Amino acid sequence: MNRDNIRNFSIIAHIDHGKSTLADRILEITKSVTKREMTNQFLDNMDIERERGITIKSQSVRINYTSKNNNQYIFNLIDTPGHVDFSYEVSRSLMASEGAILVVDATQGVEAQTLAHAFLAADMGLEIIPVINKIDLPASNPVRVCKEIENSIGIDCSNAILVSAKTGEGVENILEEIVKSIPPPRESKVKNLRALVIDTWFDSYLGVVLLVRIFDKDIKTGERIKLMSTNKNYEVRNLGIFNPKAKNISKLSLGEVGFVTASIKQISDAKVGDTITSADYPAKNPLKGFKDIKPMVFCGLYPIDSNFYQQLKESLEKIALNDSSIKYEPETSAALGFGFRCGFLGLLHMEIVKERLEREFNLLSIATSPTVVYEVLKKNGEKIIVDNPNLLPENNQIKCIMEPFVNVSLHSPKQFLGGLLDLCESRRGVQKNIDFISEERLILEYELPLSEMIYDFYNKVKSISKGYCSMDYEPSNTKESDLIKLDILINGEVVDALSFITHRKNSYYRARDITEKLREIIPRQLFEVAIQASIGSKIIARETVKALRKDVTAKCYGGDVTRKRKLLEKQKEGKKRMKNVGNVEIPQEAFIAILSTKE
Amino acid sequence: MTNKFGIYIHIPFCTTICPYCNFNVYPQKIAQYDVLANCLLSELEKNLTYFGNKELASIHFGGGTPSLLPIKYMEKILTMILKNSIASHDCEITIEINPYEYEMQDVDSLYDLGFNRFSIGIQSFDDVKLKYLGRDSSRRSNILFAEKISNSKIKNINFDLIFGIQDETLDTWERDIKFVSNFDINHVSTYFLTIEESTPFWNKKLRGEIIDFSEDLYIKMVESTINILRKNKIYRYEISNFCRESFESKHNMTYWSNGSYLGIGPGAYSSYVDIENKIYQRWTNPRSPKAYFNFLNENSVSEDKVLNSFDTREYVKDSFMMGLRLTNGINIKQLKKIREFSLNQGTLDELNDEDLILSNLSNIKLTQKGFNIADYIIFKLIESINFKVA
Ligand SMILES: Nc1nc2c(ncn2[C@@H]2O[C@H](COP(=O)(O)OP(=O)(O)OP(=O)(O)O)[C@@H](O)[C@H]2O)c(=O)[nH]1
Ligand SMILES: C[S@@+](CC[C@H](N)C(=O)[O-])C[C@H]1O[C@@H](n2cnc3c(N)ncnc32)[C@H](O)[C@@H]1O
Ligand code: SF4
Repeated sequence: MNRDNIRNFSIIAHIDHGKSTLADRILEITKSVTKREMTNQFLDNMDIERERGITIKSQSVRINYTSKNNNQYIFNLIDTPGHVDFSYEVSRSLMASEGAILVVDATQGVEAQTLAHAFLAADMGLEIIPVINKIDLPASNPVRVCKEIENSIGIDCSNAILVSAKTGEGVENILEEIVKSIPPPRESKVKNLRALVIDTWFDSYLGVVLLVRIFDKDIKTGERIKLMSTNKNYEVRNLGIFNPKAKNISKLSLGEVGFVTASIKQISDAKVGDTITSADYPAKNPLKGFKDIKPMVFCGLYPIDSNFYQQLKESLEKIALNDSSIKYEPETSAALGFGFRCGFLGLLHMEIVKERLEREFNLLSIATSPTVVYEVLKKNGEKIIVDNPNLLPENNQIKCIMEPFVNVSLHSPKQFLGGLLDLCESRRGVQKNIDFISEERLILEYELPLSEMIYDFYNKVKSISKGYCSMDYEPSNTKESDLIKLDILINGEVVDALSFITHRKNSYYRARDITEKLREIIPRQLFEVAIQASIGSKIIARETVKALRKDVTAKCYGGDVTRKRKLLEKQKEGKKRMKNVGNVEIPQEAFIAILSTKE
Repeated sequence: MTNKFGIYIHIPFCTTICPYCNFNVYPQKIAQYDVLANCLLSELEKNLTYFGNKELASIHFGGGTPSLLPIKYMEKILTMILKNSIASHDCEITIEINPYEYEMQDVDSLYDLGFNRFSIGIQSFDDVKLKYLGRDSSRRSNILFAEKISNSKIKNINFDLIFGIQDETLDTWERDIKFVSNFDINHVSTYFLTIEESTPFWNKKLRGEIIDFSEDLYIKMVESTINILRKNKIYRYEISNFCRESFESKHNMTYWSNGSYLGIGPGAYSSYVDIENKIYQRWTNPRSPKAYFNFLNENSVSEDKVLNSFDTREYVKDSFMMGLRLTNGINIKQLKKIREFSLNQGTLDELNDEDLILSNLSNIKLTQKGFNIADYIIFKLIESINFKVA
């Protein structure tokens, strides 16, 4: 196909504004999938995604389109995820595109990720097509939304396309607009192959799969290629496209998007953002890749039943095959035994992984309280990285602790401003900016410690704004803070898995909050259980779970056997989720309790 | 035990429904005793043969208020049972009686009919308590009834008492339990008031009008009960049951020793145990009278019942569940003959050390301290069973 007739684009949108629905409609209208194949949301392919309604893995689809004036085009639609944890993935897809369809919900207007993603696309020099979605809804207000887009992003909306991804109304106009305003892939002056690795994953039949965009020359099956970051050579086995099902082809040409499999054994050898070139005629310079993204949130993951350590290890390995952003390393905890220190992009990422372990691998695991990565400068001049509270050096050895900060932007109707300001201030935030994007909506920007943000921040934002506020964040830098380690003691013994690092100012409040919560969660046992919180050797909060004194059914006759048996089964289920720490049984929730605050 | 069985007959009607009761009971005004009696009879006729190889050790008319069933039906039922089974010479035939006015005259005729054990729902001799419990009786009527029955020819009598109602003091309860010694009876059941789901009391609890009863006070009350009744030569043999030597309720002992019983009537449960042939079955009748009537009229025999067959592992577990409620506990050796198993020594040691159980190679029983947390301990012990692969 002629380069001029190729269009590479992404759809960008705030969560739930209808990106997946629109992608489905486009596939349907262009007959890329038949109605029968069209289970809703074709591109969201993992179970969990379908349940949570979010897209985690980006995926590219090739679409054949015949325009109104009867020209044939190839569209490569690159689906992008839409959650704060994963905003970096958006940039991967955008880098492979020449244009972006910006979908905005006509009932909601511009939200945090609308803006974040639109700016990203504009920065990369992409053509942006504004699309106002959900016009079938009575509450839709395209005029207001267009004004918001113009005011906040600064793109002309006089030609914005009004659609309903649900009914399909207007979607055809998007296709025509893609042909008209998105430029074809640029011409290449380089004679050597260069392809950008947009995504990688592991397929049980094909092995390591690379999703690539060809920027220079072309790539053929059997060709010897080189990955420029490692300088390792491989031979191309399969080339293909998703149409939307995988289909093998023998060549990917300039401007095209497709997948490559080669003799690559390890998924870790295939880095997202890397450049593929020819082994025999290598290019001089790699393409501009993406930042190597680093996990920002860490926690320990332990099997509830320590016999399942090996299984946890294998399951994490399998998950990591498709998720290059997760990091894990073996560690041990006095309380929980053998497990792994895992790094995630964010809390949502962590939850998804935990859920996959349970659902796909049938593994119950305990996650210790999440932590960010601290830089500790010791008095002896040594600098260490701490991603586990228990590795924090003794207080007298510490010169200072640096913690990562993020810039958070909150998009909210103005009536919630007060509540949001209070929240940000209470989280050690420093206000950076307030901007009105319309009479009703504003953007509030704060810089605050990442550790404060992973601690129940987003839930608070949602409850303060009744769900109307949206949020985006990006790392800013690290700064020195007055931090201390808070330990939790159960019957006098420190439970290492419950320790966490917090700001000194918040320590008393957090200590009280957590001990109270643990008192409610820990079931009564034969003996009294003391729950204490301490900084060093100083106890700053204490609660007790009274010993079990009475637990007996007064009456028990024939029919009660069935009833009791059911009760027993239920207790047994609950027990599976308990962990013995010393001689105290602690339910799984205890480890999560650290995360949430009282309402 | 396994070559014997008991029969339970459920009469699911009461003149008024007590606000704490969640038994399978309905207001008397919807009762059709003739229909019910026919159903009971046909059910008996059908099912008794199933227990044909076992000796009948007890018959229990429960409810509800079983004495509301007209006496002519009672007679037919007893005749039917005795005709179709081998009753032991000392077969215990019990009926539950509410100490209300209209029950008085019945007692004698029931005795003449063959009933030899009477279980009286006294609940309390305290007017405040009785009123709180919504009972149709008073201290005075309860005393009159108790006097009358204990002075009659009837020797085998039980009183049901309830304790642990909101604001009840140790003193109030001790007075109730001491008052029992005024009467010549040989069995007492003392039930701690349980706030059961979907009862008016449950709603009270949800509204905060009933708060959890003090656990320490509960323990004191149980201690008092044991001590006071002991002076009367009435001893605890199950968590809530006390009797003079060898006057245990045979029928209830069948439940607690996980034996066989045939339940007749709406919602009645049955259990069939045949150790030799490794048969362990339980089934349930439809719960509402209407569903029960339909079920019998459609002549759909036993297929429609919820019948469950279990393996010997379940039998052992259920035997723990019920048997550990008895002061004599369970016979491990015997149970192991049915199915080999071992118990986690750590659990046993811990419970022994805490003075919660007494165990040796052939027997486990809960201590008085252990009974206070019997549910917890029984769960722990069942959890610790390790079955040998069959
Ligand atoms: N009424 C109406 N509902 C729509 C329309 N487009 C999408 N929706 C609904 O809006 C919700 C979100 O749509 P998605 O397509 O899942 O949104 P998304 O942007 O892909 O969201 P993520 O995959 O979670 O990022 C779904 O319930 C859709 O059915 C539309 O045009 N009209
Ligand atoms: C099967 S009942 C029926 C006996 C009879 N109908 C009566 O109420 O007197 C037997 C006993 O259970 C006890 N009981 C009923 N509901 C109870 C509850 N919620 N908590 C504790 N004991 C209860 C009462 O003592 C009652 O006498
Ligand atoms: S009389 Fe007995 S069975 Fe009837 S409602 Fe009251 S407690 Fe329940």
